[in-house]
Amino acid sequence: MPKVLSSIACNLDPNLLLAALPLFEAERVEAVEWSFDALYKYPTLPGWFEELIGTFAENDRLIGHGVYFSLFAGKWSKQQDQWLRQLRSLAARYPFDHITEHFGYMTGADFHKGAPLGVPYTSTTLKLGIDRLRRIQEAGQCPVGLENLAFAYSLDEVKKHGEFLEKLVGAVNGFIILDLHNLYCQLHNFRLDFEEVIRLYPLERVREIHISGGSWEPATTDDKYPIRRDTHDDAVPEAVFALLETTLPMCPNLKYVVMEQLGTALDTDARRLAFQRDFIRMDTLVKRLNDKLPQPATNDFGPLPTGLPTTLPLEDLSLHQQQRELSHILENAKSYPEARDLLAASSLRHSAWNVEAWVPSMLETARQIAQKWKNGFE
Amino acid sequence: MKVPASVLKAMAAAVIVASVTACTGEDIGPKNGKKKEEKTLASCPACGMG
Repeated sequence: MPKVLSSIACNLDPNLLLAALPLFEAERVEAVEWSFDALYKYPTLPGWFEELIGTFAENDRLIGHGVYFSLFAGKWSKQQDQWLRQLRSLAARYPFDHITEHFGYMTGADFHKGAPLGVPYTSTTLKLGIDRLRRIQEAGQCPVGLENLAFAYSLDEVKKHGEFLEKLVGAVNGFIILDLHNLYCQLHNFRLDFEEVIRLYPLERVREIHISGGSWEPATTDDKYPIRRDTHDDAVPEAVFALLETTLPMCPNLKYVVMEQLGTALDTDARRLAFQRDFIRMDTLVKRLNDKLPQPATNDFGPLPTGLPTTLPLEDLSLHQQQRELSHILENAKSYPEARDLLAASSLRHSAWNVEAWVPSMLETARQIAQKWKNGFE
Repeated sequence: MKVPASVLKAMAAAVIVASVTACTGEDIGPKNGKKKEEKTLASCPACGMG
């Protein structure tokens, strides 16, 4: 088996599957990543999709990627309990080689609404995150990992993200997904050099890399600098392929490189062809660089024997209150100045959130993201 | 990796039908005889939430 597997984010989406079909037929897809919690509207799966997922699971090439767990939500919810039960049931049926989730908390008041945004890097959020990772690890009975977030409110947050991820996943012998388009967003939005940022990530903890496309958001604050957003609705940019070429040999425990794109962006033959071209380019690059990685990997990220949680889920109700207050501001403020003024008068003022250091254009971006996903994926 | 031809054939039939009939509100979900709650299969958000 090749050390690094060229993979696609494969979900029950007609346009995405239509785009991926020729790649499956040509036996180019070596593993699939399934967002198993995104099918909440459907009580059962089509038989052929179950067989597709099952085929990859039988060959230890199915990985799960959660969207809605809201890892850092300060208050434990019954929906998180249900999410774990669903994962436990699916993992028994389709053994996952690993399970991942996103860094952050979901802004929406309802479980399947909202978008992931960051939290302060404190001892409280660290304990909360480790508690949640242990529960996911126990339910999935497999390695667990977290994806770096594209969004950041401040430069300080960008620079400390890798270190905080290391503390989180290190406690459970977990790993990180290094999403290179997310990194690309941060490099652009905070005018940083790749070399300056990549050394801040624990690259020996990278088991999976994501590549995808995104979009430019015109500046609406005084900054006049466009914002790069991780919207997964376009082809993979040249800059992200360049990041992949540079980063892949730096990750000794890498196992999966996954290409992601939303089905809504694959609605024409031309776009589906571009998706196939991007995948083949990624696969060619992966195969060329495969030999440069040490064999075998030095960490299989297996769960620690003492890692299972035995107590009730941790909670921090003051963090929960701040998250609800922030979400309400972001989802309802009609402009950046209104959001800024509401934050200055909120309980987040002079707190660990450090809202005083938030970059105006990023606060405006957070407002737009929260309002875009306020009603879920419609 | 090799995926059984029967799976790919079923997949092809389902997604091609879905792409042709998307405007009619049909989807590629399982046929259980009940009226679907959703008219069309929503594109998965995965993590493209930025």
